Amino acid sequence: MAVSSKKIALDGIWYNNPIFRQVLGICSTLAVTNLVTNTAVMCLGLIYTNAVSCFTVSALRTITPFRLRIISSTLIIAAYVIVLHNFLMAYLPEISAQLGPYVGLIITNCIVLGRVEAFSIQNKPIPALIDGVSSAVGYSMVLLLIAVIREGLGFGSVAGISLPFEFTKWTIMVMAPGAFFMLAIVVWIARWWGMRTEEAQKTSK
Amino acid sequence: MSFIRNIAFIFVIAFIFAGLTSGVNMALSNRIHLNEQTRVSKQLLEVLAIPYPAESSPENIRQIESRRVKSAKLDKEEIFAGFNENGKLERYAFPVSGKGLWGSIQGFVALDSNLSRIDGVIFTSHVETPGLGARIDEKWFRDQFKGLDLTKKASPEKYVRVESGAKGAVNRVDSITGATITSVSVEKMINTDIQSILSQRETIRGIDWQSLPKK
Repeated sequence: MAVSSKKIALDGIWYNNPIFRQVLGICSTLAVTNLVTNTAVMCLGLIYTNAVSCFTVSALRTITPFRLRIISSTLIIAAYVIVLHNFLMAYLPEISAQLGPYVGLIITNCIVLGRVEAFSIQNKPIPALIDGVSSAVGYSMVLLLIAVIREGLGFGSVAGISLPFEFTKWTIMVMAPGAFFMLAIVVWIARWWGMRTEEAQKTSK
Repeated sequence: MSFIRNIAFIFVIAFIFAGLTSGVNMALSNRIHLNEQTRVSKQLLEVLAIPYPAESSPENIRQIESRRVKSAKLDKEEIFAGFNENGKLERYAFPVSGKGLWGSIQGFVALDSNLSRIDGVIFTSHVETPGLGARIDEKWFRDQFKGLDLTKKASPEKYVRVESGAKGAVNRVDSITGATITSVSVEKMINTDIQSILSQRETIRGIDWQSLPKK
């Protein structure tokens, strides 16, 4: 069963978006999205981890004993995340301090293990790599959207640059509940949009 | 047979990836260590109220520190002295440490040059709960210590009290709601270490800073 790369990519980014279709990886969605810069670093970290982990797991799939697939996947993911964590501590110490435990928690990010287990273990390395990158990009898009809104309303800035007008800051947006509200609203709009296009396709058939 | 194969597989995988992580760790450890030192140095400068440019490189911080800060050894602890541009001693700072909720808390407390007033508190490392105990890092909490008068006592055995009640009492600092254990730990470590520093008041006054090498 050969699926085209384009379909894999579109699935990851939109039709099967990890956040609003699979509702995976929302822990970090809630945790880091109150500042755009932190979110961007987190997203790049996840794109990297997901890409290399999916590729490696897929490359090793034929020699990995079936019963040991989760333990070896976890080991591979953990190793790549530790490498990332070391790089952040060495080159971006301030962002690393702000992200705190969340970089380490990429290891247990549901998207990484989810994609590895659902896709990489049964597919060739290149499609697995495309799948890894695209679902991480799908995740990043949603995260960045939420972060722009939360930082904008909560701090009156985007990526540290102040917005050109004054207004009362919505403090709740930078706290955890703000993330719940934004996530729910984003999922709601995306699902509503998705449902509309699905129905349109049905009636046109 | 498959049992041995499985074990061998995990061994090889673990070996390769452990090698990868330790290789990266070794390659970067100097840089990480330097970053860590710079972070602590910045906090020491901050607590001593010595300004430094926001975008300073580690070398810049090191230079400012060597020009404005000197350290001396007391009985057990180290004490730092912060000098102004003209070389006049302005503040002392000393490390404080204690046991928090999840692990040890470390920081600096700055006192004025008479050793009679707290000029600042900062925490360099802790593993308190984010959003609760970790709020000891926030400026509003730390700023409450500024200006507390050490010639008065909050109670017979305490210089400073960290608690939610008794608003307006002498040397009282608002504790953090939901982080009682952290607040109590901070109170305990600051009191114990101030006590120890003040008991060596005469030794500290007698230190000949001019003769000490630069930090």
